[in-house]
Amino acid sequence: MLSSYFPIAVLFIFALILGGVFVGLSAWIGRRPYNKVRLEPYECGLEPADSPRKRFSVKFFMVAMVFLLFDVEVTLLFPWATLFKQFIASGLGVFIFIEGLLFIAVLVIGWLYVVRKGALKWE
Amino acid sequence: MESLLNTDWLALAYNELPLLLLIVGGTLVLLADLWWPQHILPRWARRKSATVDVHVPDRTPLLLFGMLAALVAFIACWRLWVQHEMPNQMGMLVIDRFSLVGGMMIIGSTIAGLALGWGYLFQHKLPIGEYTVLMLFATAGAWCMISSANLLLAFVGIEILSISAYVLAGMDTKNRLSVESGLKYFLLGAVASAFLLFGIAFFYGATGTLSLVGFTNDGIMQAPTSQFYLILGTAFFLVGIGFKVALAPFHTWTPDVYEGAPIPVTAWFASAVKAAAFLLFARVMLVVLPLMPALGTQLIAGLAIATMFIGNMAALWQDNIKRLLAYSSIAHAGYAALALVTMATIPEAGITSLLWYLMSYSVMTIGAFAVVQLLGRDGEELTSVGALAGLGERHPWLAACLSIFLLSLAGLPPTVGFMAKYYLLANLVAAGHWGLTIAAIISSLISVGYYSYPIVVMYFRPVANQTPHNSMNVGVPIRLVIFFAALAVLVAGIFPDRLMSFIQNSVLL
Amino acid sequence: MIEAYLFYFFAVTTVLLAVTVVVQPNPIGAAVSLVGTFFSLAALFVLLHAHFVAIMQIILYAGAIMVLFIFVIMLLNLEPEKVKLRTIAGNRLVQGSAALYLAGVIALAFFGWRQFFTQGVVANEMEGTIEAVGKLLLTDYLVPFEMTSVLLLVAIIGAVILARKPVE
Repeated sequence: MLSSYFPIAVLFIFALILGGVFVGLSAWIGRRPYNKVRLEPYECGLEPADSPRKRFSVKFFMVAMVFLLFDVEVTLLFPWATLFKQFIASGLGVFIFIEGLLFIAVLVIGWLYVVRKGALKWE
Repeated sequence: MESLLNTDWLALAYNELPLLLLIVGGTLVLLADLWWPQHILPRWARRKSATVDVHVPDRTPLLLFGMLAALVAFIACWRLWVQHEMPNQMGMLVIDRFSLVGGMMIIGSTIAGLALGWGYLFQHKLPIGEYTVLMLFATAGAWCMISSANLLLAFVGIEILSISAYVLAGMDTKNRLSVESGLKYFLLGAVASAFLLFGIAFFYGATGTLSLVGFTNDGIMQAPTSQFYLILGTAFFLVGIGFKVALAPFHTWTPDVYEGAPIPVTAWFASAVKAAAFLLFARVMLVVLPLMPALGTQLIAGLAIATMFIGNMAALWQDNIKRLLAYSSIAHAGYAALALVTMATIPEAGITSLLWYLMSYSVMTIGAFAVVQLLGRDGEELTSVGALAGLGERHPWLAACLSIFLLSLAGLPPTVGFMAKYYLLANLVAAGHWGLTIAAIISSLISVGYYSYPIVVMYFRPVANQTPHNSMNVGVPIRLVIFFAALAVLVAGIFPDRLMSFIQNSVLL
Repeated sequence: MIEAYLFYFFAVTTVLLAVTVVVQPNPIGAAVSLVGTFFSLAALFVLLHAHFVAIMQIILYAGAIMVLFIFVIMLLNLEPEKVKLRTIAGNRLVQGSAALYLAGVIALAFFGWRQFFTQGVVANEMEGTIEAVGKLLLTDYLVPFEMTSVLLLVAIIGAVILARKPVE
């Protein structure tokens, strides 16, 4: 029931507390003579070379796309890993092994394709 | 889970041999493409003359291998057709003669599509290996669509087919039109897939199962909620599949996509993709229509009438031959949908006429696109109808073939197009749809107007200015495709009996 | 009882974060709000005992798809100052039908149709767990499972073909 989610809730609460504590500590311990001048760029320094806001290369997009597709694969293999022992117990070990193997084999071909075609090459 | 221990995997593999062959063939082509030699000359020769190694090796043999794989799959379909008198269901997959005939039709179109790529792809610097792989995988997806008893598997099949189709349409990244067509197809197609999935979800809500066999369970269907969900599901399904086959309010993508995609791909879209979507449509309607005969029939009939008239009327104003054939493909989707209308009352005859119609349409449209492709000059596709002027003198045989295909598309007598349309209309009359019959005849008459336009231009328009020498895109495979398509159109048009009885034997419900 | 409170908490969070996504002028901020929306949605799925969907929601949407979104935002290089708050594009007909649709959905939820839509639905706690979904996926839905890998392969090939430089 709901109590079985307790560990997850504890994890989330810890994460929240930890984050809060770090932010709070740095605000408490750190010095804070903030004023407007301090936050401005140094007046007689170098001009900024270019805008901090830069266009990302389309290569990042390629990486993200391939990552997404392999991520879908991983999600589909999640139940496969969960059930592996249960299948072995009911005498279907070979079956589930081959099933997973075929699934991964097709995607290994996809991986080979990506590598051989140089889609992830940065140049 | 225990049933898995008793499953005869070898029998399953044997019955799904076409699917396995297509996937294995595609995979092998992909691997061969990856390890294909990068240069023609060996390394020592390349260093001497730097100018030579700009030539990339021709990967055309991969096309041949793809055709071979498809051919073996075709033969496997044929063997299975001979062996299976009765439908045979194994888990989610149904092996019956309906799906096997559909499979042969689609695999045949794929072979033709691969043959049309011969020469064209190399000339236009398109990736030959990926072209072959995507077509083979897409055909495997089409197989999942037509031989599935389960809507989930059918949906996975649709997605495999559609994603390959989007990529094939946008493959020519140097050509703006091709990129536009790929993007348009992808965005609209994704929305249509969402509608389709929504419809499937409502079907699940109505019946509690994704299996098409479960639709006939009367106990579930009596509840008013189920009826409501069923109607909602049918509406969404019609929108989704209507997009995939280009029925009227959802057809607007067709001209742009067909125009922008490379011609071999367009020919394949008009034949294989359309046939696969129609066969899935038929399979679902076969179980849905008996549950709501009146409403379902009216919905499909309305879509069919709108499609026929919009397609045929819009084609009258086209001067671009690819767009003209695209609108013609819309109009033909309308005629094929009429076959679905008759399925509510006379299911067997309805499916027979659908198969017959799709088969004949595939052959003649592939032929027409092949002629248009053959007429393209180096690097440029032939687009305007006016460029056909004088073809009757320059290439009399080619002009004759194109005329045959166009006459067949119009549905005039000595061709297979006439026989298909005749059988369809006879069935409509037998089912008592007089209004639809008259509408179909009127729209066919309209269509004669634009199909005769290129013929008139070819034979009777004088050549205004001497066009530069037409260096034709010579290739044996494309000529073979045109030859066999023309032969099939004529032979099946004059002696339809054998083919007809073959199809009738395939429809045992 | 506590489930109901949790449901309302996560439902309100989802809606609020979704509104933030729309009104946030900074695209990156909008993307981060979207991650929050996905997490709240995942919590809602957990409350429905649909664990597998919840995990997919987090791994795929909050993980991979958000990475893709952020890369696209970086690629387009949108500056927050230039993005103005926009209302629904299009004419009054579109706006009107959108408003009507929203009103209709809310009305459906509040009035008698609630009975109609929830009729006969029995919540089964064990239906959505990873074991249950996985058992179905790996036995009955074996063929679609294997075909999904082909689908992913096709998608990989497509992404590589379309994104690479044209061959000269």
